[in-house]
Amino acid sequence: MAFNLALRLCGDATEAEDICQDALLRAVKGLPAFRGDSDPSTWVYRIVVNVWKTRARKAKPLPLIDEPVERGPETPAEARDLIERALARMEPEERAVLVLRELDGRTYEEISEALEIPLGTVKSRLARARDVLAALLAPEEEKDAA
Amino acid sequence: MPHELDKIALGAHIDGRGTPETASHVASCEECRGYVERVKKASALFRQHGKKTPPTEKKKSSSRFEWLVITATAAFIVLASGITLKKFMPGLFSQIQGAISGAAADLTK
Repeated sequence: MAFNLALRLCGDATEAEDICQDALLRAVKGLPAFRGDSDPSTWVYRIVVNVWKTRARKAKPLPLIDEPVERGPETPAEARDLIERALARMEPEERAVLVLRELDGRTYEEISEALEIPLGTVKSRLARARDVLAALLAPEEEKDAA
Repeated sequence: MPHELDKIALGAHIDGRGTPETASHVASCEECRGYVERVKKASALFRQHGKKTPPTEKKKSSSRFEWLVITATAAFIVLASGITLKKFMPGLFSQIQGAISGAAADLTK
């Protein structure tokens, strides 16, 4: 769960392993301070996201391919390629909200708590991320052609 | 009439958290309904193909497992060979012992 989140945030397996290791160390150190007010998984998410944010400041951005897309994917490989392109077009914070919502099924409140952002920001970042995703995976032209 | 899509409100509608007003608007507005359908389709594709698996971790654990199996098999073969030799060639060990003792005696001369 934490690994998948880290992997989707940074896009690199080795980097994701490092993020998880750092997060594990922080979690162990911070365990005495954890009061159990929130879901432990949300707490772990927050640590993973914080570690990733710290590292992301120094990291290279994902490769951006800015070609227009005229039709949706026809094969799983095409879908995976377009997903990578969509993620590269998003701001890291938008990517984080999208991953937590769509891949982990977190509620708006849980995302708000994990990323330490207001509920309204969760909604706006999610809307922007979904907009980018739809532009590549389900472009409007496809609807017109159907 | 064309209008600017309220994508935040439509997002809440997609997640089952929209207002009744948004729901009735989506039902009557082709443009908004089309957008909702596209976002739902894109999200479904993302859920289906967006997860990545940790290949390096799997490879490491599989490699470790293989080494454990190889070591256990080698230990078993050595043990079984020793037991078999002792059972069917009981004189072999005393012969080896004698040869070693003889060689040691020659060295001390």
